Amino acid sequence: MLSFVLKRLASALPTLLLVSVAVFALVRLVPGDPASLMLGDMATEASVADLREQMGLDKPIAAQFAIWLGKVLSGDLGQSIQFAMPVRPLLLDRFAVTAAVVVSAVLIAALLAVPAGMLAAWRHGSAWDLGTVATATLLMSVPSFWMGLVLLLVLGLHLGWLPVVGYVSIASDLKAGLLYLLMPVLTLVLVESGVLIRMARAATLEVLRLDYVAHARAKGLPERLVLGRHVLPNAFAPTWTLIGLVLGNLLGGIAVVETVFTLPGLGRLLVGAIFARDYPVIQGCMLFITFVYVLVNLVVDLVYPVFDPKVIAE
Amino acid sequence: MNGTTSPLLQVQGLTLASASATVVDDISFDVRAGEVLGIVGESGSGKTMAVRAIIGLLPHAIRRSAGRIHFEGQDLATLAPRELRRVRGRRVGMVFQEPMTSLNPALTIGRQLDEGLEYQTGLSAAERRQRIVSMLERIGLRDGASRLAAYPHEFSGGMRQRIMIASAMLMRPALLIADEPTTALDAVIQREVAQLMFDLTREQGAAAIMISHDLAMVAEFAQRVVVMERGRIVETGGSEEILLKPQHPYTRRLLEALPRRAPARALPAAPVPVVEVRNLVIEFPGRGGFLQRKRAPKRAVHGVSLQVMPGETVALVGASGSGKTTVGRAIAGLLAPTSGDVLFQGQSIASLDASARAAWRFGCQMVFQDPYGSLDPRMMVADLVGEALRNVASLDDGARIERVQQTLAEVGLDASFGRRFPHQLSGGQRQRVAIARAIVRNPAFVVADEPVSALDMTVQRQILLLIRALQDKHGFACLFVSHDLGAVEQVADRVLVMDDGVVVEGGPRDQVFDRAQHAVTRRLLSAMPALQPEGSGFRLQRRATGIA
Amino acid sequence: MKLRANAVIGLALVGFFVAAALIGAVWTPHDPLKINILQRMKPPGAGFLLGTDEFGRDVLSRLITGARNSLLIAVLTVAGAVGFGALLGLVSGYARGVVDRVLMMVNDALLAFPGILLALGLLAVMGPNKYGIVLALALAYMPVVVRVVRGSVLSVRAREFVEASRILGNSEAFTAWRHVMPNCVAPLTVLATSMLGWVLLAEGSLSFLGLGVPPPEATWGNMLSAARPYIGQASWLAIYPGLCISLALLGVNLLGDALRDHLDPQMRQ
Repeated sequence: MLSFVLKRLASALPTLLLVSVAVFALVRLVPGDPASLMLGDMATEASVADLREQMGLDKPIAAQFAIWLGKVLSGDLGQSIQFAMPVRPLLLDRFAVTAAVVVSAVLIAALLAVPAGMLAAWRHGSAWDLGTVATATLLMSVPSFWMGLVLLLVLGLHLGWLPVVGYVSIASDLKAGLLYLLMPVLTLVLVESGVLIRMARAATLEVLRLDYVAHARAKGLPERLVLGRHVLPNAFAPTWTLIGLVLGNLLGGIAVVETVFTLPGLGRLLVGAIFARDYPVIQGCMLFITFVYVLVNLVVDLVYPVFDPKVIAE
Repeated sequence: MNGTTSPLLQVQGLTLASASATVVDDISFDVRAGEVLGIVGESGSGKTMAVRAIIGLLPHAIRRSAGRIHFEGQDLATLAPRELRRVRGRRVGMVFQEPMTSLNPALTIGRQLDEGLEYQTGLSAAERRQRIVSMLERIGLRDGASRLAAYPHEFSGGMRQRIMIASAMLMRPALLIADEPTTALDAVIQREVAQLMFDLTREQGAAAIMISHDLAMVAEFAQRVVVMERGRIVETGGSEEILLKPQHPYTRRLLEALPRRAPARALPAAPVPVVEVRNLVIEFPGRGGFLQRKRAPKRAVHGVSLQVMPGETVALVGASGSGKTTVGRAIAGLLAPTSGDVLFQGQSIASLDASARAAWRFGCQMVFQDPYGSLDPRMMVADLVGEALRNVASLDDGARIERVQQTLAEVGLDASFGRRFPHQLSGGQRQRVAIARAIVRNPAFVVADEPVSALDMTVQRQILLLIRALQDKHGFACLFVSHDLGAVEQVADRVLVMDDGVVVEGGPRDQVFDRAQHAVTRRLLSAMPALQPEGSGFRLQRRATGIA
Repeated sequence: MKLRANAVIGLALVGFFVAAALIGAVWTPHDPLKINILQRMKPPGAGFLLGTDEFGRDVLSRLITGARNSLLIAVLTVAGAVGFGALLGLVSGYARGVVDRVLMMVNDALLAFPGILLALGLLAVMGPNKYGIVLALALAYMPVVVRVVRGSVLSVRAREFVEASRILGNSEAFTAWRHVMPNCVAPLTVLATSMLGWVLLAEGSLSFLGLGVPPPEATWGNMLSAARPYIGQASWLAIYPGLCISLALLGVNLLGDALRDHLDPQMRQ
């Protein structure tokens, strides 16, 4: 068991390193002097020269990377050009919003989609099954930004039930905060349920075909025990992996939903930074989001043996 | 047998159908208390579906359209689901075929053994545990208590099957249904597991239904036998009677397929062996390195020497893990030996120049075990066989096509097969294609790696006869690797027995079969049913169950 | 060949948009770029079947051109990702050893970037331009192809018919060409179809964010973006482009399903 955990942790390290290299290289690809890029157009000559020295721009590229990596690992992600504040607190602040939306959406979507998919598989061929698959396929095909716009139109403008712009953090005001979160979360839940339902259904169908399910029934066990104890955990394993991927996908593309609902999240920060050429923020966002995703995958992999103990033996 | 007591199970007029076909057509049979009934048939006979119908475990697509199933005073066919569940497990137990997939990989065996008892009986946890542990000891799992927390994948195939049997017998059913319970196991283990199963049923006074395609095994353990073909019962009777005096042509065909020794043949003497192996050692490198599980290097073959003379068939037999397949693959050139030499027509295959290499590839061919995996699914039959003639300069396109047709005809496939794809062929037909591919170039030597193990009994016999006939006609030598002595008996001239990487016994076939010296050989032989040909059938000799 | 509902509807939808794109290359009801302030913000009606936008441009014509742009970008991207990815996957699956390990490490690092993040980064460096988006998305999706093809190659190479080919005396190169590669095509086709959907969606998202095809060129994504401020007054500007994306995606998804169902029994062999 321990070797499995260690092995998995160890394989994450070179990935993280290479990701850092990629982000470093990406920003360096931008034409122009790296130091003045980091400080923006308004910077003084003196501060640019200062930064040049700090970044070690006269040294070989490998050394520059080492210096850069050192700073990143110690938490220094530079200073945002737009907001004139350190990048790290800015990232963490915005991440809180993004995380709230993404995590709630994935959780709710999973809680709804997985049982729905499994039920459809159990009642394979019935009207419920066909209806579920059709709905899931439809949901899967709707882009999140359009779903958001339509919800905004209907629930926000036409019916006036929910606020259309702005944001209040739930930390400061629970009730108001929830109202602002409702539409973005609903949008994501609708959009991601489709793919989760389909996977849960496919996995359950596979498991229902297997001999050990027939064996459990042959012992005379009631259907609820057969489903709950034998089918569910084994069918859940591939769905669990998919949940990790869905989370990642959302993290990568959250900017669109945040734009539709004008949420002060990480995605919008990144997009804004791209337009404003705020390279410290671009760099910081990319590193941060990717690291979080690697961490999420790590957790998914480490929990996976709970559903499929065979993995440890291999 | 007292004819006035009513049978334990009585199936009447059972008919099962899917949307497109009738799977089981109006069958009737019964099982008396305490007896063992065997149901024999090949794939497609409907035997599995028939027994699954007894406890209502049919797959979604198949429905019962007619028939009654009387058991202990109830008609199981029309029973409500809740009532049926009370019959399952407690009154009728079931053992499935595949030990790999019939135990839930995510639950411990303790949990799986316990759940039936927990739900169906009123025993306390301590009582259940007691019963489980003593049952585990009974099936040969020492120290049962400590193994309760183990997962299925930690056990071998044979042990998993024993656990399945334990799981069914724990609940003391009146009837045990065993669906091909030993088919997926090694020959020797097959017998041990079957013996265990019937010892347990006898001890508990339970009746049993055993399904198998192996007529000899069924005859050995069952008192009565039902023969099914394509959804119908073609013959019923006492097991020895059926073996001795089969009535129906299908039963006779099944009997024909039982292994019988081929007549010994005289082979012309030859100076140089076609293939010679000297002191072959094959070691698989260990795995290690940072954070990878350390695996010690494994010695699969510890020094094997053998010779195959032109035109003869040498059988290499042993249980799985004995190294026989590894030797076969090394001789075919798929594996490089760690040390030792493989010589083809006098030359070491390790040191061949380009043209000698090509000649070697021409002269040495292979037929694989899996008829489903050895043919490229995207190629037509004619192309599969024709590929072998690709490099033959002396054949132009027309001659090549003709040669392919000829060879296909020789293996019993007419011209229309040329345009078919592998997935359109049966297992036996695919193996014929594989054989055609191997002999189309007239090789001097063919390695046959378990060529019939995956096939139905009647098909096995056809293919073995085919190999023998082709050999008589073309004169190639053959190394026949197998764990199945029944198959070996039908084709081999000489037999070599391997165990744990070494050859423990060897000699002419009749000598090894009739006067075996080594314990391993005797053990392998004991796994074969002792069949004495008598008249137009066989007589079964009940063998002493002690394993040497 | 038994035609399923999936395949029929999918083919119909995709065919419809492909046809629209092709027709749009030579004719549209109005000039999609022509600004006509007098006709701005007209709801759907005579003359302008789906209405006009804030600059008086015909929505229908812009949707048709949008189809062409979006589909072209999607097809080019998938072709690039699949072409290069398959090559790298093949090399990796065959070379094994150090080459394989290094390639996989780099590939895993690229795969570690979630969703369209890598594409976003690349676009940040390149600046918005019509073909930059193809490059960015192709690079972002290539690692998946590499992974799938490599897996395919490794599993096919272990199959007995590949060994049989070797025993027949065929060279490694011939075996790879004649036996290994054709058997890797099926999973790759399924992947390519799914990828078409992902890329359509990604391009839509990027254009919606303003990082995709720059205006005044029309793509469904940037039309939706432009519609945002007017969503209260001119809701049709937001409905139709989104509907197009959804229907196109639905078509691709259904086709992908039908393809998977068709190939699966053969793949299982």
